[in-house]
Amino acid sequence: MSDNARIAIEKVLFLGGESDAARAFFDLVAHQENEESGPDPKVLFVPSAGPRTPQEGAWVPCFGSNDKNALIRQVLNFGAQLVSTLTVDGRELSLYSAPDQGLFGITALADPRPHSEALGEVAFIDLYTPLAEKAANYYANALSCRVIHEQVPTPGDYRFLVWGVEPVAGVVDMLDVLPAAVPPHWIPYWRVLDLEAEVARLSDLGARVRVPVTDSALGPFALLADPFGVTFGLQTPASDTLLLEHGRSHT
Amino acid sequence: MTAADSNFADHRALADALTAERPLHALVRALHRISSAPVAVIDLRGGVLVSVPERAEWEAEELVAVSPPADSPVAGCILRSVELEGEPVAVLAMRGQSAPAELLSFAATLAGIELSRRHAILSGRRELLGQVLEDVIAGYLGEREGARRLLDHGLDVSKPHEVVVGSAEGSPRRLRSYPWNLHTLLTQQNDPHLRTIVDERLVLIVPEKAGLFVAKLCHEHLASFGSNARVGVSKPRLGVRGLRLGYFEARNALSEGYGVHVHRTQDLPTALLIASLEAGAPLGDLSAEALAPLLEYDQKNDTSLVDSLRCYLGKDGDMSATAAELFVHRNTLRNRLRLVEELTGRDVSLPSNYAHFWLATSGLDLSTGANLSSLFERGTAQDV
Repeated sequence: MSDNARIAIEKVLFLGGESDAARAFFDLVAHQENEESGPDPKVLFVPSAGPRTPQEGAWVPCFGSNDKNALIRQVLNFGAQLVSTLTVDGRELSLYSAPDQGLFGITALADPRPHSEALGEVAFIDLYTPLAEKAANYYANALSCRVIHEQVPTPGDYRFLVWGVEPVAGVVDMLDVLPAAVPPHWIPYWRVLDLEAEVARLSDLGARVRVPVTDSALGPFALLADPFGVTFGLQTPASDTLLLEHGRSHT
Repeated sequence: MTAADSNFADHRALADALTAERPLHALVRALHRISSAPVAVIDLRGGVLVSVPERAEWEAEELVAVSPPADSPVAGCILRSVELEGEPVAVLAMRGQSAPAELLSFAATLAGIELSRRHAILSGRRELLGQVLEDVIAGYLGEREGARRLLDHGLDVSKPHEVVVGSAEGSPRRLRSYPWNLHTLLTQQNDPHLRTIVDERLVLIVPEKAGLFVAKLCHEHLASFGSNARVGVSKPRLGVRGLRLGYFEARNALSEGYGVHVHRTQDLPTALLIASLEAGAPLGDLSAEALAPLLEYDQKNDTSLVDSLRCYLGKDGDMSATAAELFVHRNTLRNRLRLVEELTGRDVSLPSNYAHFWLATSGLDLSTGANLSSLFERGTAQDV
């Protein structure tokens, strides 16, 4: 892969589950009071993606590269396996299984677009996996990223993937916070202004709070399950700045 | 320090938490400090309200599966019921058994007191909103005044909203005392979606497309404390007049029975009637004019010609069914309809007059805020 091939989260897929109902719910998550925000175009809902998709649905990030074919060779060389190929939003998209069995996609990076920090959009994504070190090293190699491993007090041993200085994704040691029987899964974070008000609003819509509003070194966040049981997160614009500063401080 | 001193100090630390800026958080932190064990308050749906440490793992659904909780540990946790007005609304969970159970019970009582305090404030706001909504539904407020008063409660009626109406058979008091969303109590803000009680029914006004999600959750709550829980959802509506219409749509959908139902209008006359109302046509005045001879006769003679006519139209002109519904002899009904024809100069059996009377009675109902089931009898509700 060429040295200047850029890597970024291009799309976030909701695979399987009740995709129409999930789309309706996350359209409401994206809708922010006093903002002209519509659904996040980065988030796509795919009705079925084969037998590996959990019944209630699952989030899968699609990494985009402006050298897609080289990126595909690289992810395969480091040990991923092709699971399926989909056409989503008019674009071909391949799904892979990483060595920790977590799913991810590869697609072409769209034309450069301005960096968005709009409310109601997916701002970041974390991988929860019982094989955190192995997974972080895999993604670092496969996506030409660096790993910043923060030795923070448990629970929540956290690794941070950055491309250059740009935040790409986080990797959480799932065994610190969840039973080992839970399969590896991704959790996207929507950007909201008032975390507690949003937690109350989404609870009214049937979401369950898994982790109430919590402060962290990368900004406050909360984790919720949608009405169908799929986990998602909320964070504030403060995390955008803190994530970027975090990436820069470890160059 | 004696054991009694230590016990008093622990109780004092818990009680002092209620004076903190965020009392429930302070209470859970204090209990965690005393016990060194993870502590959480979890609502009865399994949502974590407060947890110390924040990222502690809780088998939340398992912990709230039995309410009120048993004395014996569940999933390695001691549980105590947190009650609001005598009803369990959450559990206080402490992992392990590192603090006296009696201290946990005391903390659960304090948590209940704090939630009750917050709930009382929110209930006051809901009462005020209820008064405004009752005026909207009764048609006492014009578009501008209604919009202004609803905006005072944070509702911008220039954006489309859906109305959700729910009911359950049981204690009406429970409908008012039920907390609905404990996260709202924690934020110390208003309800995220306007919520009040009107005519012993729960009423929510929510943004377009949110109605079904809110309705399903409301049904879950209503079914937890009452029988025959039912929830109706309106179509998205704009403006004060639209909100009023939405209320009746939701109420009509609710009348479909147990479960969640969404109003869906199918026939043209109802759609046209609704459209004319939304456009601000003086339907009430026109209807009163059309029915003036009947209304006057009813008032002077203490009769029920308009009600009889409404029922006859609702039964699609079926004399037997109408007589049975009104609990009168067929001849009595025939005499009443003959009187209607004499007073109005219109033959009720002619299709053109049938439409005239249907529009008149429906328009009159809507303008007076009376039972509107006749308006929506031809609209159907969609099961969800």
